Amino acid sequence: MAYTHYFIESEGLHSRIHLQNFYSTFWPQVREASVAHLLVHDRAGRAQGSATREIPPFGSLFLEISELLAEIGSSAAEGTVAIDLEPPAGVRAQFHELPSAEEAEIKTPFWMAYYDDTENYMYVHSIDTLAGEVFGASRLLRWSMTRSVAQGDRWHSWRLLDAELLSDLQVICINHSPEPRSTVVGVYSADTSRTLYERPVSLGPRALERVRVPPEELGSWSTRYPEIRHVRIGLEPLLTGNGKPYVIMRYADGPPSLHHG
Amino acid sequence: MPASVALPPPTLISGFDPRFFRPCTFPLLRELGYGTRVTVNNGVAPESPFATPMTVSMTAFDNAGGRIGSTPEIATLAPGELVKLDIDAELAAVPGAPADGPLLIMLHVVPTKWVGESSVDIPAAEMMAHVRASDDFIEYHQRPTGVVTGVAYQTGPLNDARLSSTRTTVCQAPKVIVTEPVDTLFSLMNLSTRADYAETVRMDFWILGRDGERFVRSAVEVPPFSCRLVSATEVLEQAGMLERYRAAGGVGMFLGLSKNGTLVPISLTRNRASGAIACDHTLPPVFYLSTWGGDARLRANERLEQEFFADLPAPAGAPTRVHA
Repeated sequence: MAYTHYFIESEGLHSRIHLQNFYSTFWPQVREASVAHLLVHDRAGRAQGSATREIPPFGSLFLEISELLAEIGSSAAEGTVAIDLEPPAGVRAQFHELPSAEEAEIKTPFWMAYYDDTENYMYVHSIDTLAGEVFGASRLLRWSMTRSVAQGDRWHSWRLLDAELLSDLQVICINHSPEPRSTVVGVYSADTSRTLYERPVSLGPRALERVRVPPEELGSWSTRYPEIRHVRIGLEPLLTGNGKPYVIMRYADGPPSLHHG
Repeated sequence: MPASVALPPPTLISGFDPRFFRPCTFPLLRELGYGTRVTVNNGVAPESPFATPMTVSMTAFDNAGGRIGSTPEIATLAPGELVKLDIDAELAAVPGAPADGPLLIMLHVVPTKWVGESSVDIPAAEMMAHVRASDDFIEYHQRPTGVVTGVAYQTGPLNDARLSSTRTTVCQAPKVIVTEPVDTLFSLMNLSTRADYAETVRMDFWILGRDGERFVRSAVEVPPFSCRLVSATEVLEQAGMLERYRAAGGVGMFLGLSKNGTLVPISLTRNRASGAIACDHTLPPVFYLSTWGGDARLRANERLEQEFFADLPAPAGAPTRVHA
């Protein structure tokens, strides 16, 4: 199963894929390269194209999103990229060793590094998969695993943000599913008893929206609600099982921080 | 055949110190100029059969793993509640805690029914329900630049023979960015859920290039209840490989193996000029292969050792940045 990541090539930020040939760690005796299949969607969920890369044994793919977009002829400034790492024949021959092999799922988690022009880095590890797609499975198994993409529950972040320090707050809401879905992006007091900001979001298949909380809203919270020192982000509901948002935030005049919610 | 055989965990853990029921553990990065704030939660929802009010207290360990002291209760959390703690401020309540230098901090999130107890019988399912619901956010910040970063993770049952019959670590992290302004450090914590844990864990590791080429091998030893920071820049520099690594793109993978214990690895990619720092945990094997574990894991570790660590002498005086 392919994991999906958000990418951005705007707001002064760049994105780079970091993926190792993880099959080597489990079966180092296999001296064959694996093939990464990459699938790109823009922010509206439109398929932009696909690409492949070979990753040698114990090698890693460090691929600039700008390079990938140029290769497939896309001008998308934001979107998602999904990767499925196909095992070579030598690795597939070892699958008999997998515990409970008939139940085993192979997934391709990877990291996205986000950085600015002065090499200030941020990382996000894989959060959710490309829902509704399974690679390398029989037609029947694929149908069984993709016929229904579960929606997540109501979710509030376990991270508290300092209300009076926030100078920028953007919530990137992604619909990893192959069907249209809707949610509400919000910012709440720590105990969720008070709603500070909410905005409904409707997204097409594979689409995303970066919701920027208006700066004047951020600045007003500490005067309107002086008792609220900390706030938390929420989605109601998550659009897929673990479809937590990405968050871009900034305290005062510091550098941006991009992390998962 | 593997040297040992993996066994399933028990359903009841007898004689358990409840301070380790649901710990949240992290290093301070004071020597790098960062303060620490932590959002800790009582994540089990009120409707769960395991929902219970919890208290929070804190213990500080020095760089050798020695216990410096603990605070009294610093917070109480109802089911579903969370709180953000300024750890640097809370340290004032730990007798003997130094004002600077490296420390390892453990927050004890303990059901109120067990406060004051030193030994209780704990259903494993109850403990795991609380561990799984925890995803504490460790936030590092630097003033006056406004840098803020962090990482969410769980520090559940580790290095405890009552809960796991085998203890090894494989760390695969394609996140070794080393350029002129940027260093990547690996924070390796050696933790346990029993107070008398006394094993120093050794991790042997390689830094590999993008094509899998082997740049440098090294090792680090981490005493119990302590943390070590491994600077990739320093490891490469001391091996005379820094310029070659940078010339090859300055990106690669950290591949580590510990045979005698579990270490918690966190990568810290840091811009030494601006102070910006990217923190993230690595991913355990089950994120890649969902049923991985047991004897298959042990056999794979043996193969990895044979491939990378068997035919070379262990380096003497591991060239790692170790807290002084």
